[in-house]
Amino acid sequence: MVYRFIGIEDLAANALIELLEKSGCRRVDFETLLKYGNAVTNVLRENGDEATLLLSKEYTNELIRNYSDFFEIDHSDQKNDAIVLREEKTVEDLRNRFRAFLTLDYLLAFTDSKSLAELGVAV
Amino acid sequence: MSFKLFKDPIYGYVEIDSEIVRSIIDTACFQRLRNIRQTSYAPLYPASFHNRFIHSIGVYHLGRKVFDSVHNSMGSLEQMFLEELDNAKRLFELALQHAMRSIDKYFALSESGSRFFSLDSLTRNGEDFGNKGKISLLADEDVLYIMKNVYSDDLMDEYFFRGSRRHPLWKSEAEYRALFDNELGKNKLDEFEITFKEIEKYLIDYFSIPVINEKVLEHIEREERKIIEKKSTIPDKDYKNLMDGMKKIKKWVDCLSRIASENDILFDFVIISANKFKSGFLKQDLEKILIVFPSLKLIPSIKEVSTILTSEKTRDSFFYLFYKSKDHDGKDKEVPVKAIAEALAGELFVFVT
Repeated sequence: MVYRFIGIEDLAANALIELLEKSGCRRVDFETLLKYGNAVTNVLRENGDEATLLLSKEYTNELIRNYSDFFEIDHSDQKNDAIVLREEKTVEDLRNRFRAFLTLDYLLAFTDSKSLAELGVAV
Repeated sequence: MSFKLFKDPIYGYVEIDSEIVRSIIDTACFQRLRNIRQTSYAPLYPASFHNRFIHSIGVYHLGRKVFDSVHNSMGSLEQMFLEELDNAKRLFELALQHAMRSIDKYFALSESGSRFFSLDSLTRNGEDFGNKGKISLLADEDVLYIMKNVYSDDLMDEYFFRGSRRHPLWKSEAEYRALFDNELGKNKLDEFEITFKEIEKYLIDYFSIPVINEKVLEHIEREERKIIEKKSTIPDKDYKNLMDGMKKIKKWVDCLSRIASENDILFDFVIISANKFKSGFLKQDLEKILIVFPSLKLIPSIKEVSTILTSEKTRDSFFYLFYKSKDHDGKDKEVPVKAIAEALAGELFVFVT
């Protein structure tokens, strides 16, 4: 069994690729992101890999520090912050940056129908 | 109100409210801090032996002095503000607990770390690892035991066998700039850093540790074959991206393999991004914090009253590349750092097809 971690940047980027392509949406709130992440870890677990989500405040800070050219945080809904793709970035930018150095198992889990269902988008 | 006294090596006797001692300091989780070195495993300060327990007492002492000083200088202000200050002081006292949960983040992210740096390992009941033993109230002794006996590997051994440790090709951002700034323009330097950052991430995702060696080369070839086999299940755009990514990683792994061979050193490199050494605080968050000066009507932010946040911006994706200065027979080997930097810079202008 392989033990792995899913960073908030990969989770957010992959969620936004699917949301942007399938519904034109450029934001994903943390509640949805957590549900999506849980679905992704379940898919990996079904395939024999154990994975942990890294979504704490500290990792969110790292996301902003390391990928501020891609994402910003929207605090307008006080109960549920959201990660928003910066206006100048496209889905192609996201793909080139976040789906090039991705392992195949992760990609298949991020795009699995059960994971996408949590984002509310069809396969 | 009764107090207990703690002897601090710097500040002398520190008075702490008995209620705080009973509810926080006397707990097993806080006492655990006596067995955790404040400077962790950093070899820079070998004479620094103080632990997180006394560090936390010292922070508490200084923090209280600040609150008392602010409180005493505000006698004429309205009661509501004083209450807010008292609440903040109470919160600060409770913040003593922050130290209880402190663990080494980088190690916690490794495969072995993830398994015993769990919340259960921090409790009295602990976590059972079967034939590998049980860990409760995790402390330095447990980490050393595990490093030596349970998850012993090449990276762990560097802590004990200092003579065979890896060395960074550049030891600071200044050295890095001296090696590359004249060779590469800003765009190429950004490309170089982002690529290595992504390779590091890929290696951690897959191997838990960011080591580049023969094993990684074999893995990439295997992974490429796997992606080709599963082509029909992967969307076209993602297939192209995955293959491009694999080619980029392979290009750099091949480059490092060639560098090792040409310089007769072991094919063994480690990438560590500098972000691992930064605090979790964001400048953007800190600079917005408002500072209330009772004598001023205007309430400025930290950014407006301090120059601490305006220092020169460091490179976001700056990284270190470590190598082993040994040849294949285990003998020490002088490494021509400048020549290696030139080889790396030259590789940036080689395009994969």
